[in-house]
Formats: sequence, structure tokens, C-alpha cells
Amino acid sequence: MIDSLVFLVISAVVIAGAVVVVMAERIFHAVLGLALALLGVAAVFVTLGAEFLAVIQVLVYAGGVVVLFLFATMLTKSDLQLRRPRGDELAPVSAVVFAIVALFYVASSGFAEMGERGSVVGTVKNVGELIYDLNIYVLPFELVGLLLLAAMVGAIFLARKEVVK
Amino acid sequence: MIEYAWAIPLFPVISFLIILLFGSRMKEGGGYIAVGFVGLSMLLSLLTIRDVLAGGRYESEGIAWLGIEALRFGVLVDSLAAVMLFVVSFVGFLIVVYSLGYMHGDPGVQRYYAEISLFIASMLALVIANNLVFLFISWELVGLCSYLLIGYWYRKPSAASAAKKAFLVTRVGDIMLLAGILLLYANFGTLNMSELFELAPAAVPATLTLASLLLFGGAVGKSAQFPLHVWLPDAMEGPTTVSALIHAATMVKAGVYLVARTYPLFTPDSLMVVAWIGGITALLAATLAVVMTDLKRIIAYSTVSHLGFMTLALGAGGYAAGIFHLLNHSFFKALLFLSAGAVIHAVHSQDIRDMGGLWRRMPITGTAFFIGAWSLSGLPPWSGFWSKDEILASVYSYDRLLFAVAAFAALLSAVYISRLFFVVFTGREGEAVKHAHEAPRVMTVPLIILSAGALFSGFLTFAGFSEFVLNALPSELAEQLAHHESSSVVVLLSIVLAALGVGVTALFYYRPVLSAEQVRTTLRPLHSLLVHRYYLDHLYLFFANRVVRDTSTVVNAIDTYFIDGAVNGIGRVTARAGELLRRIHTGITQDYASWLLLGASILLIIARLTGGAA
Amino acid sequence: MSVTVFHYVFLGMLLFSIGAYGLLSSRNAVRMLMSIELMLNAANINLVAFSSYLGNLHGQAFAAFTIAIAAAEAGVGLAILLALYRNFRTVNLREIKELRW
Repeated sequence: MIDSLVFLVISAVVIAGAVVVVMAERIFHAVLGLALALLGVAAVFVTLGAEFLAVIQVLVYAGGVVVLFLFATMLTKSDLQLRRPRGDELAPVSAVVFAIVALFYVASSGFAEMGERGSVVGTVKNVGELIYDLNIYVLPFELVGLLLLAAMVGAIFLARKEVVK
Repeated sequence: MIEYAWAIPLFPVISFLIILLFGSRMKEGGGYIAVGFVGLSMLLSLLTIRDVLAGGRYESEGIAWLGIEALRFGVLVDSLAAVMLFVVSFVGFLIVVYSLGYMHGDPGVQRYYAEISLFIASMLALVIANNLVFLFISWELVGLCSYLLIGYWYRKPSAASAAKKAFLVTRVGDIMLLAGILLLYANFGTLNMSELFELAPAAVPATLTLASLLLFGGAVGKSAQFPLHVWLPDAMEGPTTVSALIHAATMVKAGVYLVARTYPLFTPDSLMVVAWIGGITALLAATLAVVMTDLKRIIAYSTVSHLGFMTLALGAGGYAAGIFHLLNHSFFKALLFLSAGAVIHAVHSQDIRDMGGLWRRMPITGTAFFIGAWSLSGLPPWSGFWSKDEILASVYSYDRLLFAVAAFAALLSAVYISRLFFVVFTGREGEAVKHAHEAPRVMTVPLIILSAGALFSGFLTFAGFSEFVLNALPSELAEQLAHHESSSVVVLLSIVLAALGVGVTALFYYRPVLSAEQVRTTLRPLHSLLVHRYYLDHLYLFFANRVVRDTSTVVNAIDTYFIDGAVNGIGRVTARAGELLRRIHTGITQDYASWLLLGASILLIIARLTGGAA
Repeated sequence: MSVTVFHYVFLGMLLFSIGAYGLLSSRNAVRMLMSIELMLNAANINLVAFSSYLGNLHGQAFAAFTIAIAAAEAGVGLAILLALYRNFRTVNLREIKELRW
């Protein structure tokens, strides 16, 4: 009972944040909305027993990524989101259609019979065992490291000021 | 010799090819080549005929064209074919010789001799064909040569038009002939004549009647019977030698020959149609010949009339009589045309009102013409009398009304031909006659030979001509037709009518006791009707213009708007669809992504609906 | 009524749709990137939910990787955005129409 209530509240927060991202007139508000949504997702992780992941989410996403976006909004001057002109129904239509289709898919699948939540808790130790296990995820782990390096270098290069000779 | 009959049409084909390729470098445009090869054909024909006279009858194996059995073309030479071979090759030869003089100096002679050679070849092939399709092919070739030769002076609009008219009118007949052939094939599975004759007695009479009437349709066109006779008078636009050969002696006889050849297929019902059309034609043409003023046209209508007589004879059961008249007519009609040719050559006019008193200046030609006219009029003792008498006898015992029609036509025959003779050769000299002189020998010699034929060919009846010809028919049929009543009433009547005709005409034109002019004025409406040829030409022209052209206009409209419209419409729709679809490419990436998402959704739906792959 | 995996999946789906809408209809490039983050998070919710209800931690490990990659992508994306801004003086992607017909 409590569970459902908690879940509902947290979901509401996440959705609210997401809606703000999409609908806010000023970009700054949108970024704040994103922060809210991401924090909400972290809460979701906690209810699912993924403690480690929740912390990661707060640190990386709600911390790093949101700051990144804040920088971006301040470095670029963007117009106010104007009223969507008429004749531009394509986006909402396709999104809504997709949502409906996805809903039916999900509803008609057998997910509901999956039963209760398992009792495994995603502590740092447990998740770490998976990641560092040589037979499981250690290779992807290393590769992601490489990827982050490449991304960092690329971003620096792309964003630097033009070198004036 | 009879086994080599297939070579008879071959010689003129060689002549055609040689003249076509090399004629421009030869004397007289290759005329001597034509004479030579046609002469060879004639010799071979005569040898073949000699074999037939000895009781021979020959049918060859033939060659299956393209390997198709139904189209096995071979040679059939019997007494009927022998008669025709003689007429075509002999008269043809004489006319080609005559052409050397007549066509001398004309710039297109190479074309002339080539086409004449091809014509004679086709005609000979037609005569000895043993398969209806083979006959049809030759039939069409003959029609083609007729077209080419009528329009020989093609720069003259009237000539070109006449050639076209001839071809189109005979085409109507040709279609019927083709339909008849197809019908016969559908019912009997063969087109070989002997086989058809064997199967005929067992067949349904209605089928035979229809098929034979369709075949007769072809004859109506080719032999210029009513109502497809309108092309023959206009065909006089061609050179006179062409008129003599094609439109008097040979091609027009092809229709009569066809009926005679396929006689076992005719039922009493179809023969009745044949007889009546023949009779009507004979009378109709004779009435028109009486009022014409163009020398060649009078003779042309006379030809139509006499072809009517032949058709009438065949229909009335006078098989031998009809063929006999075919033979005699070829001689005296060719004779008349060639003498007319000599006259026109000398006088440079075709209008008889310009002529008169020509006898003094052209005695040989005049004599020839006189002989031909006498023979045609049916006065004894020359050939025309004997065959016409036999025809009248057959008709008398067939139908009395038809007999009256035929007798009246015979009377008119005498009238128009004596009118022609008197006006042209007797009396005061006409304007154009003053400078006339006799024709060269190359032209007069054939005239003399033809005269002999016109005089004496009639006596063949005593030599057993009838029995000879009837040999060509299956024996039961031959027996049916063999009985020969020559009633003396008929003989006497025919002589009296001929004499009456000549006599009355003499009163108008020889010693003008009576005035033709007065008759013309008193009977003006009748005269007008005749001069306008019963307005048949107007009728046909109206039909062609209104009915045919208007129908094709409508059909053309349907084609343009519906059919083309549909086809073009498909193109337009496609282009339009393309125009609309290209608007998807807005250049805005987000739109592309939206379409992607939409498409993915649809795929998901489809996947779930078709058994769920997701 | 207990919370089943379905609820979490539903949440993920909703979040994903909102993110998709935002991605497809935003004028502002920054907003587009934020929408992408929303979508990625929705996927993560899915992963973790299934991981939990199936009783193992593989989904969580996977989600960790996803977060890392998402962060890298956000960084690079914003760098590109800055470069674009410097050249075209706008972040309104609708105005950059080189691919238009």
C-alpha cells in the first residue's frame, strides 16, 4: 500500500520534471525541470533496490550533466520557445501514436505476471562483483573508459575557440 | 507437257523481274522481253491444252506452304482451265505485241511492261490454282496489277482516283471471297478444290449456299456485276491496251471463272441469286451504254453487260453456254478495244462526237471494228450469235421473266454497238478525223488475228465444245446440265431482236431519218438518269463520306479521350503523386525523425497483428 | 494493489514518449539534447526494473554503463552545439536547412 503511494508520488515528480523540460518557455526553466526529473529517477532506483545506481545517477546525471546543460544555455543565446505554428502537427502526432502503440504492446504482454520484487540489493559490492568479473562485464567497462576519454578529447576540440594565427 | 503446267505462270514472272531491274536500259523499256516470255507461256499453254484435248486431266501434288497442309498449293489443269489458259495466254500475247506500237514513246513503258508481265503471271496462276488460298493470292495480285495499270498515268488526278476506286470497290468483293473461303475451311477442313467437291454433296445446303454466295461476292466485285460494277467504266483511264487485256479479256473474267470453277458448291438457291444479279447487270449496263459519248466507256459498259450474260448463264444452268460466251467475248471485246485504241491513237480524242467517217481513212481498223461489232450484236453467223443463243436458250428454260430481261439486254447490245459503229466510222468526217491515218503494222496484225478469232471461234460449238467444258465438272453434275434444248423459237427470236436493234439504230445514225436529239429531249428525265449512271456513284460517295467518315470520327474521339486519356492519366497521376510525396523532404531533421517514429509504430502494429514478432 | 514491473515499464514508456515529443518538436537544440537524456533515463528505468524483478543485477550493471555513455554523449553533443552556434549564430535548428528539397 505504502509502496504504491510512494511509487505514485515519485512517478509524478519524474513526469512533471519531464513535462517542464519539454514545455517551458525559457531554457533555464527547462534545465531545472531536467534536474528534477533526474532526481526523481534516482528515487525510482532506490525503490528498486539499486542503491549504487541511485548514487551514480545523482552524481553524474543530476550533478554533472545538468551543470553541463547550464553552461550550454548560458553560452548560447536562444529564442524563447515560440508558439508552435500551425501546420506542424507531425511531431506530436507521431509521438502520441507511438505512445499508444507502445502502451498496447506493454499492456498485452505478460509482464504483470512477473510477480514480486526480488530481494537482491544492488550494493556497491554486488554490482562491483559483476562489473569486475572477468567473464562478465570487465571488457565493456574498459571500453567505456576509452569511450569517455575519446568523448572528452572530442568535446574539448570541438568547443575550443578558433585559433587565430 | 501437262505436268509442266506450273511453269506457265513462271515465264511472265521472270519477265517481270528482268524488266523491273534492267528495263530502263532496253529498247521499248523491255517490251520485247515481255513479248518473248509471254510468247513462251503461250506456247506451253498450247502444248498443255493439246494434252487436255487428248483426254488428259492433271492435278499435281503441290507444295505445302510453310509446311501447312491446308495451304497445299498445286496445279489443276482440266478442260475449264484449258479454255482460260488459251484465252489469257493467246489474247495476252497479242495485246502485248500490240502494245509495242501503242505505247511507243511513252516515258514510263518500263513500268508498263513490268506490270503487264506480273499481271499475266498472276492471271495464269489464278487459272491453274487448285487451292482456294492460292487462288485468292493470285486474285489479290491481279487486283494489285489492275490498280497499278489503271493508274499508270498516275500524275493525272482522274487516273489516280479511278485506280483507287477500282481497288476499293473490288476490295468489298474480296472480303466476301475471303469470308467464303474461311467458312469453307471451318466446315470442311480443307481448301483443296477436288476435296471440297467430294465433300460438298454430303454437306448442309444452308452452309453451301452461304459459302457459295460469299464466293460469288468476290466475283461480283471482280467481274463488275451490280452493285459493284461502278469501277469498270472509270477504269478506262488506263491505257487502252490495259483496258483490252484486263478489263475485257482476262481479269474481269476471273469472277466468272471462279463461279465456274467452284460450281459444285453452288446450291439452287445461290444459283438463283447468281442468275438474277447477272440478268440485272446485263440490262442495267446495256441501258447505260446506249447513252454514253465516250468511245471507251461504251465498250466498258458493254463488257459489264456481257459479263452479266455470262453470270446469268451460269446461274441458269447454262454452264457450257456461259464459258463459251466467255471465250468468244474475249476475242471480240479485245478486238473492239484494240481497234478503239487505234482510233484514239489516230484521232487523239475519245469523244465519239468528234468522230465520223473514219472508215475511209482507217480501213483496216474499221474492218476489224466492224467484225467485232457484228459478232457482239449477236447476228449470225459469227461467234457472238452462237454463244448468245445458247445463253438465251438456257435462260428460257429457267425463268421466263429473266428471259425477257436477257432478251431486252440483247436487243440493246445490238443497239449500242451499231450506234457506236455508225457514229464513228460512217457519215460526215468529224473534226478530229481530218488528220487520221492507219495504224502501224505492229498494231494491225494483232487486230487481224483477233478478227479471225472473233469470226470463227463460234463454230467450236459444232466441235463439241460443250461436252469438252462439262468434263471439268463431277459427272453427276455434268449429266444434269448436259441436256441441250435449243428451241427454234429462241433462235429465231434472238436473230429478230438483233436485226431489229441494228435496223432501228441505223435509222437514227446511219441515215438520220429519225432524230436522236428529239428522243433525248422528249425523254429528258430518263436520259438524265442514265447519264448520271442511275446516281449509284453519288450513293456510294455519300455512304463513304457520311457513314464511314463520321463513324471513324467518333471512334477517333473515343480513342483520343478515353484510351489516350487513361494512359496519359496514369502518367499524370504518377507525376502528381511524386510532387506531393517530395514535400516530405523538408530539410528539417526532426521531421525525418518523426516519420521514422511513425513508421516504427506502424511496423509494431503490423507485427502484433500478424502473429506478434515482438 | 502491489507495484508490479508493469508499473515501472509504464513509467518508462511515458517518460520515453515525452522525451520523444520533445526531441521531435523543439526549436531549441539544447532542449532537444535534454529530451534525449530523458529518453535514456527511461530506458534505464526499464533496465533496472527488470533487473530487480528478475532477481539479478545484470540490468543495474548495464544501466551504469548507459549512464556513462549518456554523459559522454551529452558532452560531445553540447560541444557540437557550441560550434554550430558560433557558425550560424542560432540554436534554432529549423533555420539550418541545407538538406531541404
